[in-house]
This record gives sequence, structure tokens and C-alpha cells, in this order.
Amino acid sequence: MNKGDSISPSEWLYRRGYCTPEKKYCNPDGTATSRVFKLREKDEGKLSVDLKSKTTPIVSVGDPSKYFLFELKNSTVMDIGLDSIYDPLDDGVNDAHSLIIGMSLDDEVAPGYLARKSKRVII
Amino acid sequence: MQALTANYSTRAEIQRDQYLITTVGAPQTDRFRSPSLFILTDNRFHEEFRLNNRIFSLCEEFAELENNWDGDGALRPSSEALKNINYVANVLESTGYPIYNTAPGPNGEIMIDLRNKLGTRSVELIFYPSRMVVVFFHESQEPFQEIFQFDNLPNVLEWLNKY
Repeated sequence: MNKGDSISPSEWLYRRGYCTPEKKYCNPDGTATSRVFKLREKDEGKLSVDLKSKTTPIVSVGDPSKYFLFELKNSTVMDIGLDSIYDPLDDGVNDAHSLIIGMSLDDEVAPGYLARKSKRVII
Repeated sequence: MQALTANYSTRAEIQRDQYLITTVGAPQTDRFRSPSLFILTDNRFHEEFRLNNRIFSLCEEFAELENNWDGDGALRPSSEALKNINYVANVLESTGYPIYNTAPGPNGEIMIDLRNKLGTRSVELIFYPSRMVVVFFHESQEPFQEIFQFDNLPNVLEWLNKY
């Protein structure tokens, strides 16, 4: 797979969300809140994720004491008209880096939809 | 909004009355006549028995977050968002409606998540520094979002609890 290629609907994506033992900013059942999938201005319309087939949960989560890891099937992303592309970082730090594109800053439906379809990865 | 709370006792009020009857005793006792003791008892009740106690605790925590609280540049929750979420949480508490969850977002916003008993519908109220949004999720319909106004809260709850 080359940089910029669309990701197959059968692939899975990882997205991490802030949640510590002290600050439990996930749902009571451990699932992601919509804020985990919310764009911020610096994202420039591209939500960073990792391609599951190119990494491991431990590598993707970085610091498990600060973050939870959630997985999401790419077909779910495509179901709501979004796209995802493979975007490995040029410095070689993260070969799994990918982007979900098509969301806008004002979009509140997509973050909530993706959160409800995601599952927590137990590390 | 007033119409939500004016016509009946809330679950919290009923629990408080039961608590006072069983622990404070009959009105003729000296303990009940002491205004200071009554206030202490009342406050203790509120700490222990609030329906959405976890949510209120989280709101207090959100107020202490600083910029970059998530290590990825998230803005601290805005004072307007904090004020609005506290208002809505208190209205829902006074009507006996449980709040499923609340969470801060990366852009200074705070989200409240409400769900129906069957888990078939849910609603998110999202409070930004300068706007409020409501998002409707139904298990078999397309989700949609609207601008939220406080006056619409009864309609939002009505949609959430339709069968």
C-alpha cells in the first residue's frame, strides 16, 4: 500500500482517546465518547488514526496510562460518506498512520456515530 | 423550563424527605428544631444521594482542566460551556432524569450524553463557547444535528423517550 491510497472497507482502524485512572473521560462501559472522534482546528479536516494491520495495540496507544485504544472497521467510516487514506509519516516514526477525511469542524453527527460503532481494545 | 419542575416532587426531594423522617425523627424533637442541624443534614443528603452525582463531580473536575489537558493540544473547557452544562445538569437532576455521561472535547466544548432505557435512542447536547448543538441518534434512523436552545430541552427529552 502506498501513501495516499484509499483503505479497504475490510480493514480496521485504531483511534486513541484520553482516559486515565484519575480522569475517566470514556463512557461508563468503557466505550469511546464522541469527543474521541472530534476534529480540532489543527487537524485541518483530517482525523488521525492508525491502520491496525500495520501496527500493534501497544505501539498505537503509546502511553496506556494516559490513553485508551478503540478500534473501528473502515466500512463504518465509509457508511457515512467519509473516506480513509493511508498516510505513513515521512520520518518513519509511524508507518501505520492514516487519515479519516471528509468531516468538517461543525460536524457532530460523524464523531458520535463513529464512537458508537467503535470498540475498546483491551491492552 | 419551569414547567418541567413545577408540578411534581422530584425523586431527590422524595428521597430527602424519607431520609429526614427516618434519621432526624419527629418534628417535636430538639434536633429537628435546630436550624443549623437541619442544614447540615440537608447538605449531607445532597452529597450522598444526588442521582447524577458522578456527573456533577466530573463537571467540577472539568473546571480545573488547563489547556493541553489531553497532551494533544485540547483547549480547557470554556466558562460558558461549564455554566451551561451545570444549568442543564441541574435541570435534569431536578426532574429525576439520569445523565449517561459527560466529557470534555478538544475545542473547549463539553458534551452531555443522554440515553433512553432501551438503549435504542440517544442524544448528545454539546456546549461550545459560543454555540450549542443537539445530536439525535436512533438505532434504525439516520442521525441528525440541530442548533440547541434551552427551551427545546422538553422536546429533546420527548424525542428521546418515544417508543
